[in-house]
Order: sequence, then structure tokens, then C-alpha cells
Amino acid sequence: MRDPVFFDLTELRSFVHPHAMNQRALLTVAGRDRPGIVARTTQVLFETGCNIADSSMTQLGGAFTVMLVLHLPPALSCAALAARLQPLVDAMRLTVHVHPLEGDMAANSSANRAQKATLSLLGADQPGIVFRTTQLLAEMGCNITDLYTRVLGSAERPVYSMVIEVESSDSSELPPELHPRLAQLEKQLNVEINLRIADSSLM
Amino acid sequence: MAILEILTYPEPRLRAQAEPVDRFDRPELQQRVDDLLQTMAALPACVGVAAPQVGYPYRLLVIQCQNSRKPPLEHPGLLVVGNPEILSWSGTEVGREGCLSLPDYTGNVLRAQTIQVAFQDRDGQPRQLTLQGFAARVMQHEIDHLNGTLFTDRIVSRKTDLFPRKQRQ
Ligand SMILES: [Zn+2]
Repeated sequence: MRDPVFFDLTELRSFVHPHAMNQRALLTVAGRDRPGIVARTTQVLFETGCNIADSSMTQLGGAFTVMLVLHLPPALSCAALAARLQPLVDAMRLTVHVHPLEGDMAANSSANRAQKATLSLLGADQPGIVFRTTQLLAEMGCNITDLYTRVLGSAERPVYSMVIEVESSDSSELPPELHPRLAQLEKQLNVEINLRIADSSLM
Repeated sequence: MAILEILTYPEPRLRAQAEPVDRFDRPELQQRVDDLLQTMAALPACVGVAAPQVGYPYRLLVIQCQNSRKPPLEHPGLLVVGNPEILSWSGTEVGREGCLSLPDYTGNVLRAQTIQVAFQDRDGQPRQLTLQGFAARVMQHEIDHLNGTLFTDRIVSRKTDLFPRKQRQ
């Protein structure tokens, strides 16, 4: 149920013209992990009439981090949304930021034809693993769409694990030099790198 | 012969349990097999279609791994599969899947690496095959369609990718 307080006339217009809901914002929330962060954040979004487009919410160490792309209703500014989140920020000691986003999401149209691959890396922890791997990908003109890392193993012998979702920068294939270049890096860093080209088959 | 329309989610027929094929000598069934084959051939990079995906509620599917953009070195060729039963599973493997019925969406799914499957061919003759890797994955995906299951029901956490794990048993 929506809170009737928020049914003012300007907002009602968004029901007549649903496409009027086009202002986008990036909302980030972080804080010490505890039950209820997601539920209480999304409750505010629901009550204020925000639509959640893309989202990433994950536990990192002892913190919980939330990143959301929102479609705001016309009557709601980023500042007003931040104000609505303030009680939650105080109660759960969260860090919240609402940032307006320019443009629309149409830039994704070529992404569907891009060749995609998953790169996984495993090896002894050492400085520069993320930097050197992502630098190589940047040199090869590959886009990173997702990256996540975790330190595994014991405190004495930490093992670094990284998974990167990669795609070609346009509708072409990933560069053929990518495999040999990664093999070189594998030797230099003394880690295992595995590149799995995503099969684009449909079934 | 006809190229059939693929049903897409949230079409409720994709969630139904399909009926066994009782007779293979009916012209209507043979016509449906031809339609499935023609539909699969007409769609780019389509490696398999299950009958429920075209609104035909029977335990029937077609597979052709050769249609993949990078076909596996070994695969069983063109298969017409009626009333499939998986007899045994071994090993597991995570791989990315895309489904005709869930356009523009792919996800990582855990499947058995090797399966032994019994089925009837388009003449109703009993057959048995051992499938590995990609062919085993496609067969498991298509059999899921006969049971109203979509790959999104089997998506694995992306965090499982971070843990070193043997790919084969
Ligand atoms: Zn499918």
C-alpha cells in the first residue's frame, strides 16, 4: 500500500503518463551489515514511488553495500529522496548518497551483440593483481561489466580470487591476442587465469 | 512444414508438465517434428527447441549442437528426442545458458557434466546415449522445458564462481 500523503496532484500525473517517470538517480547505501538494510531501504523506495532498475547489493567484509539505479517519479527530487531516507540513515547508521544520472539507458543496444567472456583468476595474494589484470583488459579495448574479488584461504597463506565479466567494446569479437596476453600475465603474476568465452547459443 | 512462434515468459504454458508421446506413427506428430526442426534451423545459434516452447504440450524435443557459433568438437549431431529419461548423472559444471523463451538474458547454471539418457527416436525406436559437456547441458535444459522448469530456476550464485572447486567428479 502506498502512503496516501504522497498522492499529490503532480505525482498523480505520472499514472496518466507513465513515461513521465524518467529522471534517473544512482542511490548508494553502505553500513555495518545487519538484518533489514535492504528491506527498510526498499520500503522507502516503494513508498515514494521509485522504480528500481538495475541493482547490486552485496556483503563486503562486515559491511553491506547497495547500489541502485532508480527511476524517480516526477514529483520527487534527489534531495527529497535523500531526506526521506534520513530517518533510516540515523537509525541504522548508514551512509547514503543520491546522485542524479544523465541520459537514458539506450546505450545498451550494441551490448547484446558484444562477445562476452568470464575471466577467473586464482593465486597467492600480492599487490597489483586487480590493477595489472584490468590494465591489460583496458589496453585490449575490452569492457568490464562486472568484477568481484575475495580473499580465500588461511591468514598465513591468503589466496586471491577474482572473477571479471568481460565483453568486446563493440559488436565485434574479443581480440584474439587476449588469450596469449593473459597467458603472459599468468606467468608474471604466478597465478592461474582462465578465460571462458560465453556461448551465445539459444536453447 | 512451418516455422513456429516461440513462446516467451511469462506464458503459462512454459510452466506446464508435458504429456508423454504415446504413438510416433501419427502424421500429426511427424508434422510437429518437422516443424520443430525447421524452427530450430531458422533461428540463429539455436541448438535446441522443446515442444512446449512452441505450445505443443508433449515430451518431445530437438537438438543440434552444430548450430552453436562455436560448435563443440564432439557432439551427437541432429537428435529428435521423444520421452527422454536421464538414467545417470556424473560430474558437475557451471556454464552460461541462454533460452529462446527468456530473450536477452543469460545466467550461470550448474548442470551434470555427463549424462546417460534413454529416449525414443522419431520412429519410436528406443535409443540410449551418453552425452558430455555442452551436449549434456543442452539436453538437460530441454528436458527441463518438458517439466515446466526454466534455467532461471537453477541459477547459481555468482559468488560460487569465486570458490575453487573440481569441475569433474
Ligand atoms: Zn530454453
